Amino acid sequence: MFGTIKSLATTMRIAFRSKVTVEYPTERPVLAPRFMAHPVLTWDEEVHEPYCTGCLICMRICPTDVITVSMKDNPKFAAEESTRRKIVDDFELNIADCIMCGLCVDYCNFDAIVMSDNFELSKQSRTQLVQGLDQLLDGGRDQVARGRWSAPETKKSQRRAAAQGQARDAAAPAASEAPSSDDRVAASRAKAAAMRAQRALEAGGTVEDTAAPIGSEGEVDPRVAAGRAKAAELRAQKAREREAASAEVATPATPQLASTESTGTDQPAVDPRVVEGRRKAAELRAQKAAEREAASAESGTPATKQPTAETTGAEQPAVDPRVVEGRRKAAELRAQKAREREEQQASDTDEADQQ
Amino acid sequence: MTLFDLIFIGVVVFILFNFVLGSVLAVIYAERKVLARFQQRVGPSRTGPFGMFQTLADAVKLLLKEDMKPASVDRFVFYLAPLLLFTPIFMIWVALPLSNGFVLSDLDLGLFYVVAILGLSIVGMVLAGWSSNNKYALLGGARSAAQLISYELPLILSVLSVGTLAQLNTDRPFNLDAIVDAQGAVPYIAVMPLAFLLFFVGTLAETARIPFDIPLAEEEIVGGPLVEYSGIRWGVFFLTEYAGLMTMAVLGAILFLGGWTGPGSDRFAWLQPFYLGAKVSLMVFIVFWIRAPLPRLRIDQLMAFAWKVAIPLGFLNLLLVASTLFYGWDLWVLTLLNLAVIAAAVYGMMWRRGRRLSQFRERWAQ
Repeated sequence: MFGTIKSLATTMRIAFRSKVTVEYPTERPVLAPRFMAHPVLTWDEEVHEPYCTGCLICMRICPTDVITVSMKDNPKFAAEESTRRKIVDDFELNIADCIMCGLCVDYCNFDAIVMSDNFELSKQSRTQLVQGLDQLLDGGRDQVARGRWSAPETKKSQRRAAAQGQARDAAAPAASEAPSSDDRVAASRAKAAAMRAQRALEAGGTVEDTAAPIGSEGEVDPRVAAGRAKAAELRAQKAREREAASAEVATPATPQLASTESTGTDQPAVDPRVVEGRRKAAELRAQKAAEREAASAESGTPATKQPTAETTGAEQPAVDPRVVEGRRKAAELRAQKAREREEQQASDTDEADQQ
Repeated sequence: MTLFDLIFIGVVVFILFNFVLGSVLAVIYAERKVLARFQQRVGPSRTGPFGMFQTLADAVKLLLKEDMKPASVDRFVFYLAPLLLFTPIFMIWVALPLSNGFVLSDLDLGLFYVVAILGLSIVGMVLAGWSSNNKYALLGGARSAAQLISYELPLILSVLSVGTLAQLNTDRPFNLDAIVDAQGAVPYIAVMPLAFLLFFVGTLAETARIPFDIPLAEEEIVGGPLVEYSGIRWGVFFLTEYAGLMTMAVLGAILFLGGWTGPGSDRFAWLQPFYLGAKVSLMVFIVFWIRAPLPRLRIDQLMAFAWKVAIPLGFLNLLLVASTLFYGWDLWVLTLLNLAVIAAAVYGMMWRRGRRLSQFRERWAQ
């Protein structure tokens, strides 16, 4: 009896609350920040390629099998413009079956896929519900344009920023003064400097590059080889210019980007003395590399300046002893780089797991 | 009867029919809006200004829909049932005054006429349930027969007490016009709140409104007698439900709320329909309000309330009114007695519920 009266009072109280209905076509709903419609792909504005490497993790994790991905070798990696060795070739999303669970986003290691808020998905036919790579990338740009997604502030991007800072310092005359920051940043900066030094070395006199998988043919037409040598020379020159420019204005340029992938391990605790030592070593290496480059430019051995991606080194006729020395050192550095890369991969995986 | 009379009757019936239909459309629209408000929605909002023509559009849709008839129905009765349900409601309107003297047929025994016609619509429900040759429909028809017959009694008893009490002030106590006049400044809801409660519960049950929508019960018997009907025949059932609600609201306003009387209604006769409309709207609104939170009763609860509570209270109320008349008590004595009976009834129901709950707990404790 009293319950009945109470229920009537409750009903009347609720009648004075504001309405919850959103009269949709004339009135737009205010979406929650975490509203999820279907997933879309993100676009790396720095390298101008998708974040997606086509690793297929989303395809495997998808509960309803709506994602189809294929992978290809990244031409921009071959051109040293990107750190992604593999890149997405094609990506298909069947929105008709997508349950919008967001698992693909959770599992993506590359921030390549995000949930959009585009809920207006009605189409005239089912085939229109299958979105391809371009549509999904457009969707991702739309999310960025509307401020729902921005390139993430990851440890990677922090390292990238740190590398830029180090580049500034290295360009300064009194480069020995390291900026006051924590040990990890200092370590990564030192490693970045080392990598830059190595890169300069490679540009100057690398014979072969283990990191470059493609195009190791035995015999090359001499004209082709000459052309490649010239191209490599130009590239090296440009890289130097770019480095100088980035040191001046601290804009993100491709050499830094390229170096970030190989930027050192991310061990939490590094002895400050070790850091200091590494930094000095990197400085020395950079100095030597510059000297060596100057020397090789003088000695006029353009044939040694092979493009790193395609060089075999087999057809170079006469080898300067200094070049031999440089090659030896380069090999050492490469080995070191490979080790570091392995370690970093391990730590990146840890990071991804933690995320 | 001359030809002029026939034409006159035809025109008047046409006007009345359309008035009732229009008010039913308005009531359906109002219910959808009010119920939406109670549920934090907006209700119909697209068809016409504020969605006002939504019900009209629904009616047009029902008219245009195919009129399906299952092969196994009893065809004659199947087609007859909606008419039997539909006609009595409009017959009641013949005797319902909308303002002082504004009535189609000013019957001396108008109240009896209304009550007698009211019982007829049960036949339509039962026949619809029977002729559909469908278990749900038959069940719904049986339920409606049981429910409507049960609640007819307290309804009639409360109406009878009004007629009895009206003898104090008028020599035509069963004329609806005279009953309104007899109430004067104090409407009968203030004199006999118990009778009004019984009338109101009876109204809910008669019109099969929630929480007494057991005959229809969409969730249990998928609409009961309506289950085999489609198109405009189904629409007639739907329309009858709301026309019945409207009719009962007008009757309640006349019998208990003082009808068309109000401040200034004597001097300005044009105010009278508005007063009546306001009171009817209040009744209808309360019906909607009750619909919003309450669940449907079980059939045994329904019957228990009718036969164990409502009918004894109806007799008691009639007895009190008769005593008042016989001993010449003042009306406030009747009010006090009514309130005392209500309090006692509520206390009794609470006490019984508490006892049953404690018994239940004891059984579980063992």
